Amino acid sequence: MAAPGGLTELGEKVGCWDAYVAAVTNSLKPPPSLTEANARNATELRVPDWPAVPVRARSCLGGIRADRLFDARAPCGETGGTLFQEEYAEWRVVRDEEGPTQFELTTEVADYWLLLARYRPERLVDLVADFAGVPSLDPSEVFGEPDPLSAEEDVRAEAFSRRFLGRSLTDEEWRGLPGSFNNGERAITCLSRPDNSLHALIKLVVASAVALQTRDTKDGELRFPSGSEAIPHLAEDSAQDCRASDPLVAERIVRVATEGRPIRFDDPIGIYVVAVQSEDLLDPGGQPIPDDWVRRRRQGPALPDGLARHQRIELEVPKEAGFKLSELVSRRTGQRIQRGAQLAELVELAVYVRVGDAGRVPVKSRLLPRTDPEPCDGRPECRKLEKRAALIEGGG
Amino acid sequence: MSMTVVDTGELQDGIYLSPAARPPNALLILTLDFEANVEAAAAREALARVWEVLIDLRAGVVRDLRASQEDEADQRIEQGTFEVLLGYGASFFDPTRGLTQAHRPTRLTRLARDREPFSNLPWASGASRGGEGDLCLQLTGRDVQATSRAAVEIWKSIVDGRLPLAVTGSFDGFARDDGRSWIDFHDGVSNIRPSQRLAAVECQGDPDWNRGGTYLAFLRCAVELAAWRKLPRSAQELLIGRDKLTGCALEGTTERGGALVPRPYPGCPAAADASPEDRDKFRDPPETGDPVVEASHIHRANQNRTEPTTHAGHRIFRQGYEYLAGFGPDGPDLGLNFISFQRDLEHLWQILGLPGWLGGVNFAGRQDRGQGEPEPIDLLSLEAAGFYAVPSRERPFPGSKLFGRVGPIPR
Repeated sequence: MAAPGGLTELGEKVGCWDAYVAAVTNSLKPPPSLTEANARNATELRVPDWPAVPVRARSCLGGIRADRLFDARAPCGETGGTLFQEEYAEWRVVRDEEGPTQFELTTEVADYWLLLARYRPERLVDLVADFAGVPSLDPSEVFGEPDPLSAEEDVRAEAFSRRFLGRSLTDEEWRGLPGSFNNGERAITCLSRPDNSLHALIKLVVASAVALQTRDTKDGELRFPSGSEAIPHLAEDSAQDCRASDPLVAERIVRVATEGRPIRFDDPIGIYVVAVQSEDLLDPGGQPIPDDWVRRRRQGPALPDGLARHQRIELEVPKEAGFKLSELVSRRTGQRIQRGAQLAELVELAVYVRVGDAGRVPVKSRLLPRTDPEPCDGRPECRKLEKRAALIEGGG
Repeated sequence: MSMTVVDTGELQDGIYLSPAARPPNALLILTLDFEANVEAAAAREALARVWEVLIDLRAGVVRDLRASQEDEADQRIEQGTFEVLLGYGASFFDPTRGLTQAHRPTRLTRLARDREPFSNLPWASGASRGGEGDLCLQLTGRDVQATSRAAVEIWKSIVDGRLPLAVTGSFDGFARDDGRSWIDFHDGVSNIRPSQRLAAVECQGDPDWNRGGTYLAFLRCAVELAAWRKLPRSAQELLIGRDKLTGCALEGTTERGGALVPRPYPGCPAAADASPEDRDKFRDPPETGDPVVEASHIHRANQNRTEPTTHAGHRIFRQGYEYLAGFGPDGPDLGLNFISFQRDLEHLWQILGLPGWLGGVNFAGRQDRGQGEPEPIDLLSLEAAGFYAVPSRERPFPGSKLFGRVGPIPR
C-alpha cells in the first residue's frame, strides 16, 4: 500500500504505513465485505464526495455566525479549526487589515505525519518550514525538544503529537492545544482533530460495511437507509450524523455492503481534494480567476488512473494581479471573500473506494426499525457547538 | 404500487411533491419589481392587494365581473383552475431599498447579466437575460387560459390600484402528457422517493424566517434540438443514460465493432409485481462502475445517489415545463423551463459546478472520452434565469412578515 497521495518521502519505511493501516483495520474487526475484497474482485470506483465546509456548525449556529467562528481564535487558545472544522479538512486564513490574503487547507492525516516524525524528521522539518513560508526552521523549534533529530523515534512522535495535535500518544491525562505550526498562527500542517483522522475514517467505513435495510415510514417499502437512519445502528462512535462527510460515506457504504459487494479502500488510502471550483471566484472585473492560482499540493507521482490525490491547497492572489484575495467575489453569493468558509465551500473532498459485483459476498440484511430522524439543527450536538462558540464569543 | 400521500408541510401551493398530484398543464412565471423608493409599508400593501385578487380569482371571483347595480348578480368563473406561488428575489433584500430588514439568504444571489451566470451554462445568443425581479409569481394552471387570465388580473389590479409594482417579465410553458422532453427522452418525473421529497425541498432554517419554506431556481434553457437530432440514437442514449423508447436506465455498455452499444438493465421496464429494489433500480438507478454511463446526464446530475436528508447528496426536486417560443430561420425556438425546489440553493450550485457532476460539461459526456463514446454536447443555454426564496404559507400572504421592521433578525 502506498502512502497517502502516493507520496514517496517515507522511502523504504512506507511498509510502516502499510502495517499501520492494516493494524488499524484489523483492530476494528472488519466484516466479510471488507476482508474478502481484493484488487481483483473489487475494481469499480466509487467516489463519495462532500464539501470541506463544516455543515453541522452552519446548521446549528447559523451560517453567518458559523463562518465567522471557523476562522476565529478564543482567548484560551482554542481555534475555530480545532473547535469546528470537522469534515476531514482543516484550514487557516492569513489576513491583513482588509481581510484574507491567503487560504491554506489540508486533508493530510496526522497518522501519516506521526510516521514522518518517527522516520523522516528532517523531511518533516523542511515541509513545516515550507508551509510556514520560511527558508528553514530549527528542528527544536518544530518539535519543542532540544535535539529531536537525535532522539528516539517514540520521543519524536510524542513530541510531534503534543506540539501539532495537542494530545499525547502516551499519557492519556495530558491535554494541550496544537502549537503555532498547526493552529494556523504560523502554518497549518496536518489534520489535528481526532475525528479527522485516518483511524476515524477507517472506523467509519468498517462500521458501515454492514447490510441494513429499512421500511419507508410513509409507503412501507423496503429501501436502503439514509445516513441519518443508519448511523444510530452502527458501532458506537463510528460516525457522526449531521456532518457532510460521515452520513454520506455511511449511506453509500451501507448500500454497497447490502448489495453484497466486496469493498476496499483504493490504494493509496487518503482524503483527497477532488475539486476546487475556482471558476466561481471572480476577480474585481467579474472574470473567473485563473485556476493555477490554486496551488494543489501533497500528491506524489500521478497514477495511471488519473485520479486527483492532492491533500493540500493554497490560494493566494499573485502580487502582479494588483488586488488581494479579499477583493475576489464569490459567484455563488455575490459577496467579497472575507472568511475561509467561503473558499472551503468550493473545495470538494472524497475518499476513493473500490467495489466488486453485487451478490459476491453473502449478506443477510438487518431490518432497521422505522425512524424519522430529527433535523440537525434541533439535535443535542448543537448544544455542544454552542458551548464551543461561547469559548470564542464569550471570551472564555 | 399504491399512491403515497405526501406530506407537503407548510409549503405554498404549486410544488407538486405527490405522485398523485401531477403538475397542471400550463405554467406562467411572472417577474415583478416594486417601484424605486417605495416604502416597505406601501410595498406590503400593494402585494397584499395583488394576492387578494388572486385568492378571489381562485374562488371564481373576477373583479371586473362583480355586480355594480342592485339588480345584477356577480358573474363567477370556475373555481380552482390555477395555483399561485410567491417568491422573493435577491433585489428585494437589497438593504438600500429598505423593503425588509431581513438579510438576503447567502446563496440567493443575483445572477450575472453581463457575463455567464454559470461556468458551464452560458446565456443563449440574443437571450432576454430576464427572469429576475423583486418578486416572482409562479402560476400553474389547468390550461393557458387559466394562467393567462390570472396574469392579466394581476396587471389590472396594479393599474386600477395605482400600485407601486410592475410586471417586468413573463415566461410560459406547458407540461407534456407523454412525460417526455423535447429531446424525446423521459423527463419531468422526480426520481426521489415520494416520502423523501419534502426533505429535499423544505428549508430547515437559516434564515429562520424561511423555515418551512423553500428556494426556487428558474432556468429557462434553450435546447439545441437540431444538433441533438443529428446524433444517432445510441449516442443520445449514452449521453442521457437511458433507453430512448422505454426509459430504462443503462446498466453499462457493450463494445461491438468499435462502437459502444448501450445496455439497459435486464428486466426493465419493471413488471407490476417487481420488487421495490428492482423498481428503485429503474427509477433511480444505482452507480454502475461503467465510466461512460457514469458520465451520462442522469448520473452526473445525481452522483452520490443518496436520500435527500444526506446533505452532500445534493438532492433537488425538479418540476420542469417545456416551451415553444416560435420559429426562426434555423427552426423552432424551444426549450425547458427548468424549475427546481430545494432546501438550499447550495445544492443546485454544487450539481452544476462540481467536476464529475455537471461541472465542466454543459449536459453530459467526457472530455477525455474513449473510443466509441459520444462527444460532450453543448445542448443547453440560458434564455432567462432567477433564484427566489419561497416562504411558507402565511396570512395575509407568504412572506408578509418580511416587510419593513417586522422581519426577524437572521442568525
